[in-house]
Amino acid sequence: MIIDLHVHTKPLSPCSHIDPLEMVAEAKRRGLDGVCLTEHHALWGRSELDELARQSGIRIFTGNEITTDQGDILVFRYPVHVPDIIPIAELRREVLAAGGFMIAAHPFRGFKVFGFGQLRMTPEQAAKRRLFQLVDAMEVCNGKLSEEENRMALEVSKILGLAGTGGSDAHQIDEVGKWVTVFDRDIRNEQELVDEIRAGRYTIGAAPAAS
Amino acid sequence: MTVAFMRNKMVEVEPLPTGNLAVHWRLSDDLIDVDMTLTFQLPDLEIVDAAANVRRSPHREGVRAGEIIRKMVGVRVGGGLRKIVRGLMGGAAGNIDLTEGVLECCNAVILNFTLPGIQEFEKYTYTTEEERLAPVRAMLQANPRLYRSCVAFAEDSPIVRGLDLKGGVS
Repeated sequence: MIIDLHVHTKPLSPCSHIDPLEMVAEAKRRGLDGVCLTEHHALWGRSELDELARQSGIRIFTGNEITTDQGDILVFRYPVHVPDIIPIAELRREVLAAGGFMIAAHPFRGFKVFGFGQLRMTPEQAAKRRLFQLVDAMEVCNGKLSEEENRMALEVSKILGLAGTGGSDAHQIDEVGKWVTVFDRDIRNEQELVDEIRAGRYTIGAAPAAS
Repeated sequence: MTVAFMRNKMVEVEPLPTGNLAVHWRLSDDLIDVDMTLTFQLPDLEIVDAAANVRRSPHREGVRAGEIIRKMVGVRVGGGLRKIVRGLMGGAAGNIDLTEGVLECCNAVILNFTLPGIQEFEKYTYTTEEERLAPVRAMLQANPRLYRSCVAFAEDSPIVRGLDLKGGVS
């Protein structure tokens, strides 16, 4: 089952240019079986999600992208609206108490802004970030990052034995499915989604029809 | 009536024997008197220590504002920095002078690493337009999220022309 775990739509994510109906049509055209709507600090209502899924014919899951002092976190199974930036330790406590799941989104976004010797971080050094002690998984393939940034995330996930996921982080329609997570089993809801990531029953790839 | 107002601002980067960087920032005028020191750990540029002394402030928190600066410990200079700093410092309702001070300290760290390169770049005389655009194209290739983020990086711009930034799988 092919799922894009990281998609933004308007108007809940004001930075996105993607209309939800347009997004599901494009996801279907590209051969995706499901998408996960991860708006910034905003949650979809269950009835709206069900209606969108009914119209599209693909599975629609919901999460939330929450900005913390340690960067952006994709949060699943935590249906609480978090309006502002929050310290990650506080978010971790609340999500764990609710039985939720946290993925560090694009953890090395911008780490190569300064390409100078003394700032060249090794994966071993990067793995020491406190962030990685406070999440359940990390994005190792994000559509907005360079190959080098994604490669660093992959290497760090291997060092830590932390599950790595793929998602497009789409904000424009032609970005949907740029990276996807391909699950071995059929997934019907967010709990099963989290269970399958925990179990490691997936691989990462690109949408079949992605250009 | 003559209004007299004087403001002094200073920011200084100090390399420490530990390999870290300390940034000292001070703002002093007729309303505010505050100094701040942030310590950045290399290579991740994470703020590992943050302290501020606020001797005079028109903000509601008054001299207690220095305590807020402790929230900066753990923040890294990198993607989303402005959003994170402003959010943790209370946004528009927070102490804006202190917030901007933190961002100026971070900017000083960035300049500490980038200024020598920029100065070298400016000395060079380019013979062709392609040669002039090459470093900017390399920067965009390394930071693909900037693609379509502004008119300079729009699909039909001279910088983007000839670059392949759409592929997800290498």
